Order: sequence, then C-alpha cells, then structure tokens
Amino acid sequence: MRHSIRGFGTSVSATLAAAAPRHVSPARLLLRRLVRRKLVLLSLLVLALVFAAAAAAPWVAPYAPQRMDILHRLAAPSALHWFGSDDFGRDVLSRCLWGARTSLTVGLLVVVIAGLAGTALGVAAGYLRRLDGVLMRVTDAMMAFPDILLAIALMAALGASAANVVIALGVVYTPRVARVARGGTLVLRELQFVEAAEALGAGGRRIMLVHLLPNLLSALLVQCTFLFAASILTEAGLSFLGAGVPPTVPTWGNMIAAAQQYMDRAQWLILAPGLCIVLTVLALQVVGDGLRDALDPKLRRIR
Amino acid sequence: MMRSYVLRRLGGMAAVMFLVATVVFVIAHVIPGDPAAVMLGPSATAADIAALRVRLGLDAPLPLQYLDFLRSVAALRLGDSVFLGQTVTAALAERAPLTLTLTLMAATLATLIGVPVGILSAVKRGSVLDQAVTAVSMAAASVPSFWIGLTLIEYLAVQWRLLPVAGYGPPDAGALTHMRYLILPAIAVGLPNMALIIRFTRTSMLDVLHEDYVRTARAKGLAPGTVIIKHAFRNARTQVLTILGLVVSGLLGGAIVTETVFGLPGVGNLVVSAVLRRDYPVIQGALLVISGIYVLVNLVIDLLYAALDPRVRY
Amino acid sequence: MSLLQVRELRTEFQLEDAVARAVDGVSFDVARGETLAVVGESGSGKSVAALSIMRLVPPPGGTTGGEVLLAGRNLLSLREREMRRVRGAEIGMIFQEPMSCLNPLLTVGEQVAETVRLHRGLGRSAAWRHAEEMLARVNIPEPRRRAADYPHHLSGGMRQRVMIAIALACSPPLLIADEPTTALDVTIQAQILELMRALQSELGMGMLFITHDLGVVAQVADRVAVMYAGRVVEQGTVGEVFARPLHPYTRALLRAIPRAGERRDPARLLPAIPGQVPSAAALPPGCAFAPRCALATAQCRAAVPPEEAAGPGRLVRCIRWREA
Repeated sequence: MRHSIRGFGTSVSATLAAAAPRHVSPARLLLRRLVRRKLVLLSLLVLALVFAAAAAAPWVAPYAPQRMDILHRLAAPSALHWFGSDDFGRDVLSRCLWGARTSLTVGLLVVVIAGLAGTALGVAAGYLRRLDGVLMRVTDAMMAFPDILLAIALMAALGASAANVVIALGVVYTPRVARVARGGTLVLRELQFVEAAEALGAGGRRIMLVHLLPNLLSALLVQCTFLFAASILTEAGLSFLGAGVPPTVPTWGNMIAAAQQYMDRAQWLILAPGLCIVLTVLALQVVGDGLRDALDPKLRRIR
Repeated sequence: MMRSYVLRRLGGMAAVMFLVATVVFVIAHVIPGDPAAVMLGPSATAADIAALRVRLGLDAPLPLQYLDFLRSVAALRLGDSVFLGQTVTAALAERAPLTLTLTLMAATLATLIGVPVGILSAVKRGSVLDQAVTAVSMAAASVPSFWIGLTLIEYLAVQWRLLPVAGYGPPDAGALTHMRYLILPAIAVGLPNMALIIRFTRTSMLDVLHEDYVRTARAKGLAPGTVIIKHAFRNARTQVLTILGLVVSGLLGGAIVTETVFGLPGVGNLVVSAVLRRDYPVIQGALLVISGIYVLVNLVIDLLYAALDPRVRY
Repeated sequence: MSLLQVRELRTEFQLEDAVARAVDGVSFDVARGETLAVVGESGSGKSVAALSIMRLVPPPGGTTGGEVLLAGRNLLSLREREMRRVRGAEIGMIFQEPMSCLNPLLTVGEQVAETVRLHRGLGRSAAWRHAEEMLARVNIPEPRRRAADYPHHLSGGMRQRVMIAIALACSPPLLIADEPTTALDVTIQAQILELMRALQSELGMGMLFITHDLGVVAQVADRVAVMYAGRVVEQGTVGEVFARPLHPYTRALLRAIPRAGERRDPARLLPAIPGQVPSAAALPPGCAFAPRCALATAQCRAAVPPEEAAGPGRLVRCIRWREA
C-alpha cells in the first residue's frame, strides 16, 4: 500500500489557509483592512484636510500671503494672527496655506511625471531584455547621487523656479520608480499567465499593458505614496537652501529659510511651516505603510 | 576565486563611474543656457562672454568637450573654480575631511542605536515598545534634517547652552573640540537615517524570524538570545548591510544641507554656494567626488556581503 | 507506562475576526519503542498538535487546554526556561522542508554540535567529534568532510539526515517527525524511513510520526491516530485500522486508494469524498465530518460525538461506527 493521498504540505499555514474567508473580493478586503487601522484612517483624514486647505487657500486664508501688517511685525500667535506674523508682518497661517498649494502641487506633479516615466522605463526594461542592461546601468549611475545633490545640480543648470523644481525632482525620482517597476515585471514575467498570453500570440506591447501593468499597480501605488513624501521633503530642502522655489512664492521650505535669523525671537516662524511638513509627510508615510500591509497577499493578518 | 570577484566588481564600479561622469557632463553642458553668460552675470559684454567660452573650452564641438572631460576626470584634473581662486581638487581636498567625519559620526550614531532597536522591535512585535518605536521612527523620518538642526541649535545650544551654536573647531584644536562642534550636526543628519535603519532592520528581522531554520533552532532548546543573534540576525545582517549602503546616500545628502545650517566649511557648504554662484567646475567636481564615495562604499559593502554569505558564488 | 500522554489538547489561533480551533480536544499516547502515526489531510491540525507538544506554536496561536505528560511531567505547566531544557534533550523534532530547515550561514557540523554543547555541556572539540559521529550514524558518506560543509552543498535527502542527526544528537527518548519525507523523492523517502526505523530500535525511542501518506504509515508505524478538523476520529494498531476501519472518514480514505493489481473499470473515477474540510474558525456544532458523511443523522449534527472504545486500545469518534 505505497500510494499516497495527494495532499499539500502540512504546516500551520495550511490550517490557517483552511480557515480563510472564501468569497470576499480583493477590493472589499483592501478597504476593510485599511479602515480597520485607525491610524491609517486618521492619516487619510489629515491628508484630506491638508489637500482641501491647499486647494481652498485663496478663499480660506485670512489674509493675502504678501499682505504686510507693519504694526504687527514678528507678532506671536494671537487672535489676529493665529500662527503669528513674520518680519514683514505677513500672516504665517496664510503663507502656510499658500505654501501648501505650492509644495503639494510640486509633489503631485513630480509623482505623476516620475510615476509615468519610471513605470514605462521599468516595465520596458523588465520585459525587453535588450533594454534591461543599459537602463539598469543608467539608473545605477543616477542613484549614485544623493537626491538633493542631483536636484541641486539640476537646479543650477535650469535656474530657480517652481516648474524647474518639478523637472529636477522628476528626473531624480524616475530611476527609483523604474527600479520598482522593473523588479515587479521581472517577477511577473516568469509567471505562467504571461507564458500563456505569449503562446496565444499576444504582442509585447499588449502583454505589457494588459497583463503586466495591472498587477504592478499595487506596488507602484505604495511606491508613489512614499515618493510624494520624499518630494515634499526634498523640495523643502531645495527651497531652504535657496536653490528651489524662489522666496517670492511661499513654500514651507523657503519660509523656514527666511525665519532662520529670527530663530531666538520668533520660534513660531520655524515651528509652523516645519510642523506642516512633518504632519503631511508623516500622514503620507502612515498611509503608504498601511497600503503596503493591506495589499499583502497573505490571507489572514495577525492582529 | 575571490580575486576575480573583486576585479569584476571593480570593473563594474568603473563602468558606473563612467556613466556618472557622463551624467555630470550632460547636466552641465546639455541643459539650455550659456554657462559663460550666467557665470559673468548680466553686466558682461559679448566679447567677455566669448573670451570666457574660449577659456573654458566651450567653443569646441560637444563630443570633443565630452572626451576632453572624460580624460581630465580620469586624470583627476577637475578644473579650476571660477570664484575661489583654487583648483577644484584643492578646494574639495580641503573640505572633504570635515564632511567625511560628519558623515561617519552620523552613520555610527544611526547604526549603533538603529540596528539593536530594530532587532528588539522585531522580536517584540506588536508590543507597546514596538508600537512606540514605530511611531517615533516614522515621525523622525518625516522631519527635514535642517529643521532638526535648527531646533537643536535653538534649544540645546542657545537656550540650554549645552553645546556650541555653530562654527567650527578645526582638527588641530584637538580631536575632542573638533568633534564637539560636530555633535549637533551629526544628530541632525543621523536622526532621520536612524529611523530608516530601524524600520528596515525590523522588516528584515521579521522576515527572518519566520524562517524554518529559526524554528529548528528553537526546537533545539536554544536560549532566545542565541536564536535571535546567532541564527536570525546572522541571516538578516546582509540585508541590513545593503540598507546601510542606501543610507549612505541619505547621510551624504543630509550632510550637504546640515553644513549650511551649522555653517560648517565642508563639501556640502561648498556645493551650495557653488550652485548659487553657478560655479560649474566646482559643482561638477563635487558631484563626481560625492557619487564616487557612494559607489566606493557600496563596493565595500558588496565585498563584505560576499565574505559574510557562503552562498555567494565567486 | 507510556512515554508521552496527550490529553484533551486544545490549541487556538486568534485571527482578525474569528478564533480558529486548530486542535480541539486531542488525546493519544506514545509508548517507549513504539511509533504512533498521526494521519490527516492538510488543515487537520496534526502539525499544530505536534508543535503544541513542543510548545512552539507561533503567535497568534496558543495552547488553551489539556495536558501533555512526558514521563509523567506536564510539559504545558513548565516554565519556559525548563521547557527549553526539554527541547532537544528529551524530545527531538524534525520538520518537513529539509531545504529550509538548516541555517544557511552555519556549517552542518556546527549545527549538530550546538545541540550537544548546550544540553551535554561538551566543549568545542568534543562536541565537534560527537557531531561527526552523528553524521556517520545517519549514513552520510565522508562525515568528517561533510561536517565542514554548508547546507547548500547538500542535497535534500542529505539535509534531512542532518536534521535527524541534530534531533538525535542528545539521544532523546521521544522523536517527533512532522512529515519528514513528504518533500523528498520516493527512493530517498524509503532510505530515510529505513534509517529512522533502525535508529529507533537502536535507541529505544518512542516516535510520533505525522504524515498524510497512508503508505508511509503502513511502513513505519505500530499504531495510528486519524485526525479530522482538529480532532482524533479513530485510533488503533495499524493492522486493525487498515483491515477494519470503523470511522466513515477512515473508510473513505482507504477506499480512495487505488490498489496495485486490482481490476478497475477505467471509466469510473476513484471514489472521492464529496464536500470540503470545514474551516477551523467555523466548525459545525456537531460531528465535524457530518456534512460529508453518508451515515450522518440529526444526532450526529447536534453534538460532537465522544470517543468510544471499540476494543482494547481502539477508539472511534462516531456514534454509528457499528454499522459497517
């Protein structure tokens, strides 16, 4: 009696797998998991607020960002100026709101550009072996520079403006997205549904668009969330150094730069924009982590 | 066998540096705009600009400029600074030790605290300690290093007078004095990177702790400490090493910004002022040197990786 | 007296929205020198039961009830530090996946020597010599050379021999083997089983052998316990259970095995058991096999059937076992 009953390997996971929910769609599962983590929910709320405030700045800001209130220069936070005022008597809260517009717009555009370009290059590199070697060496070279150094150098060549910051950061971050896309493509390429599609005569482009891309979306989504956070930080750094958005347009970074000399007299000038950065970036990171955990293919999560 | 591996890696490094040099060239020369005009400013005459172009070799066809550039880089001739009255090499050599010391101090801080905390966090997954560590390290990774720098200056230096505010104690004033000035900057640079190290170490350890051989180790009755260090961490450490390689990039970048905040005369400060003044030779030189450091560090890490893991084929 | 006595063992997993009762009141004995096979399909809880005995169930799981008596001592009531002295020294355990059960960064010899250094207090060189001896005993050719090799230099069969060497290095009275041959080629499987039987009689060990393969049970075990959905549904000697299975599940399992030499209509499919194993998080209130059982009645579905004695050492968890 040497015949075995074909079974799967036994292990703890087999027991857990047998206990899995049977008929829940992946989208609903994702939503359920995201909502369950209160911290993620809170961060999404914070992000929604920040975005809303930035979008509505022209209407919500109590004062125009350039409006100078000479009588109340360097005023501490009060009923008149909730976040205080700077050395020109400009309202810090309003400038933070307008700064949000700039910083978030730059971040969003960078994510879109780097996301699209990086994905295109990465998928192409992963799928078309001829491109892979060249593209990987080039991304290696570009990733040999610290983000901010490459960004600074590009800004030196391009000149300081918000649009150029977008271009510079787009160039800086495209390789990173390309890496993730390529990695995912390499894994997916070996899976059998791609072989099946090829056997059915699907061409390269069709395979890339219809089969590979949708499966990469979750990893890319997570990566782009973190990318958004990184661009906000790097743009702040650039503007702080004076190589980013010029001080005529307020961003959180250049507000902190201008506030340096008044550090001992007016801490709120540094605190307010700094907290804005920290809050937004932290919220983005929590959401990114939450997304990554929620998109984990393991069936049942440990509480 | 090890030697051919090392040689292959060095070859790879050379290839990357070649591409790096190309990228640097592209940034400086292919971007629209006339560097000569920008350098001389709006008041320059056409004749002056033309003369500077000839002096800088900008009138030659692009491919020739490219080859010339590669040749000088290979010979480590990085040109002359437009504003400093020094060769780029001399300027960089003067300032590099400070930046390297700062980066090293920050790296030591980040690793010595970050790795053990990451391990502990993974072992006690889900506990209050783990949650607190995760929260704090996420927050620390969200703070721009210049903000940390400014806050540290404001409170630790100005208000509580624990450490010097800014400025610089040169190495000949004694190692201790020299380092005192670098403590706050090292913390500012190290903190966000420590957060990264904690998170990645934790993730690597969590992966490894679920491996079958850890279960085997426990089934032998080994003490928890032995299981964690001799079996789990030993397998996670190569991943942690890889992360350290990436973190070097963040440390170097952080150093650049922090030197400005603290007024330290290092390479970072040099680069920033060069950018503001469009001192292209300096910018190019700094790009090459800093990326060179990064590539070298990663090469060393690759070799360590091979030495530590017997499965890597030479 | 039995070497190992498991009584009403219960182990649960705390999941996101439910509790999975992986082991739900399991009892069996292993005597010295005897091999008890625990048989079941994947998800039946047999591996979890073995891990529960060693107290190695990973979180979010935990043993919530029952007793595990090893030579009279209840392992579940020991302090963790005391339990660590039991592991490796009084119970050896080998697992299913030899490819991943060994630390890739330590030599094979070191991994065997480690156990002996820990439990017997031997010094480095004495422990290393002992490791070489153990490798020889598990029939690894050129043991002295092999001891300095890393796991990735060895094939699956060799690695499993190393695992056996590690488990038996301190001559424990009990060996737990969790599907040790499932991941191996059939020919290697035979060799490993042969080796285990030889070592068992040499050392006079009791062996708890977990498997899903009835063929292996026949080769290696004296007694067998059949598990389904976290409970033992039938127990007895291998001869008895195979010749006269009493529980409908056991009967169905044995029916589904094609026999060499039997004449079968090629158009007819092998008899399969309709339905699916219930989820450990959603066990039915009565007999867990009832939904798939042709003999199920309302009483079966109402309450979990108790274990009934059907002869000396023969147990069945079914109220209708007499109706063959």
